Amino acid sequence: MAVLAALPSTSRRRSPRPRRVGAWLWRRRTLSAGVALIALMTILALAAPLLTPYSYHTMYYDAILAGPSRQHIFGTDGLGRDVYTRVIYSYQVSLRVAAGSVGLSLLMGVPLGLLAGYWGGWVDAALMRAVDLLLAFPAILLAISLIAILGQGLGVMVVAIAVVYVPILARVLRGSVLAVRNSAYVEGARARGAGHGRLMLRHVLPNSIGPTVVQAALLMAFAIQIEAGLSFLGLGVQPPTPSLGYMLQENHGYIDQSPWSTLFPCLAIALAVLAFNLLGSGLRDLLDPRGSGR
Amino acid sequence: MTTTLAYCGRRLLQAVPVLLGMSIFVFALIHLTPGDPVQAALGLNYSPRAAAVLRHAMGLDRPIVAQYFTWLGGILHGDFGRDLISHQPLSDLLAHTLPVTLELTLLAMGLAVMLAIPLGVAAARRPGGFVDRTLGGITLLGISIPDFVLGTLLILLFAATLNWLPPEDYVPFTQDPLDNLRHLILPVISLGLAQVAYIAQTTRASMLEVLGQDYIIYLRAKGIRERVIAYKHALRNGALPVVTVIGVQFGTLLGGDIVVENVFSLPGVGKMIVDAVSNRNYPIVQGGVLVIALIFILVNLFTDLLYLALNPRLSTADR
Repeated sequence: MAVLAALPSTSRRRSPRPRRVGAWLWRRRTLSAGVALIALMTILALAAPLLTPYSYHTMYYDAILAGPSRQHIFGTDGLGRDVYTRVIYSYQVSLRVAAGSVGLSLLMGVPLGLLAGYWGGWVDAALMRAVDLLLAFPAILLAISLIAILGQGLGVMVVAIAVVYVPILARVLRGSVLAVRNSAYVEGARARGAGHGRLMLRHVLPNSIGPTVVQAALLMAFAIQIEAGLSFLGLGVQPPTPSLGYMLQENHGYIDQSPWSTLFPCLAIALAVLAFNLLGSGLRDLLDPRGSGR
Repeated sequence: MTTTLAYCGRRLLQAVPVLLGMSIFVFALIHLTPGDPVQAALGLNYSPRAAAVLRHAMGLDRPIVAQYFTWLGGILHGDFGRDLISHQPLSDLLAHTLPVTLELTLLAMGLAVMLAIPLGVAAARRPGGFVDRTLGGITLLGISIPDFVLGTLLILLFAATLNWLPPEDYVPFTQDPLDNLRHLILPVISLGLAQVAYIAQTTRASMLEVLGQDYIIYLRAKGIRERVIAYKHALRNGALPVVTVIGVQFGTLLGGDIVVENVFSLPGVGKMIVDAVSNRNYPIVQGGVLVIALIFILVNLFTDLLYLALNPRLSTADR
């Protein structure tokens, strides 16, 4: 993940009036851009019915494979459906899968990583073996295998991606828990008589969760890619629910006749992935003490 | 030397539980799938009697643990099971599909490494310079555009619009090497771009660290040329993280293969697996997943051993 360090990071120079909100946002422009793009996509997805006069499945036979126009700003696909409408409805699926899979994997990965790092011993050993095993499969292959077992659909995809992510998140958290477990403030709290539960939740977890949050944001970017990939393969959400990946598949045959029905979903996927990468990279700058701005 | 051998031995032993666990997972795959394989195999010829005979013949009436060991024994003898529809042995199918996947993966990785290392070295020699900023741009594109989306965009531009390259299909290397490569240009680029970004950035970061060290200053003071310092001294000492990222990215590449083969209709293992999932042809899914996971584990093993070759201190430092 060292790659993201190369993204334009927030400036190290001290702003003359750091209390101003604008300056604060500008200094964290990677994060700001990510949050703004995600907010935009969320609004497009949630308010989709208000933002388009069309429905995502109505076919306009008089406008098949049309280019961008005032009626259809992104053009229409091979069945005469409005591409813009389908793109913004597809964001509902992308965002639900990203949030759902990462949320679910945090729910399982955080307790596992915390316990493994804090207790060590056999809990740790067992977890690390399970992690080794799950990491022996490329992520999308593991997801495809789980879909082969569980069948297809949005819920299955969320679960399949979450299963891939749990070990990744658990391992990141375990690493940072190990780093703070024996620090002076934890020892101090222990000396004052804090129990294990209190130590873990009040002292260890808040001081070690940072890298996990960053990783979670980056995994949301990957979740969007995996969702699009699975849907492209026809293993994701089922029609008529629109999905960006499935749109590429549907329009693959028309690529010679009209580029628009392919181009806009491609750009939409890239934008979504970029947004979450910016979020992750911005959060890293914000949470990493060696980083900028503080 | 003995410590080196011990390290290799220990690393090989560590791979055993992963291999076993992986084989249990893949075996479970077929037993957890909905539907009865006997019924699926018989199709319209189904009768309770025929089913019982076939069930016995397939060994499905035996205890599950016994079935697992029979299956594992078969794998070790090269028997990966049979296609439910064509009844072809999977080993025959793999003989056709695996070379396609391997060729695609190795070409993509080879291209990525050849571009990424000079790019990373050049970027590290002048941080903030032209190459560094170009690399920043490539990185942003590489991580934001998933491989199959890039593939689609490349088809859109080079095949559909400019008509320079074929959009899909595959010509075996043995039949026409040049045409084979021509068909692989777009898939290789779509898989390789993201890898260029990852490997070049790792090279850059590792080089920056090494270039700041005292012995580099000493070499400069001695009057050694910058290029020689960068490639002969710094790169060699900064190679470890690069090797690691290449190993890790190999797995990503194998995953990317699965989707990209479907974009370009390349008859590799990935396309075989996806087609089989759609047809509920579970033995094929099972065998395909097994082969990809096996390659992945072997690559990780190889990476670790290469690591040792590059940094012999590891064998003594590691307990």
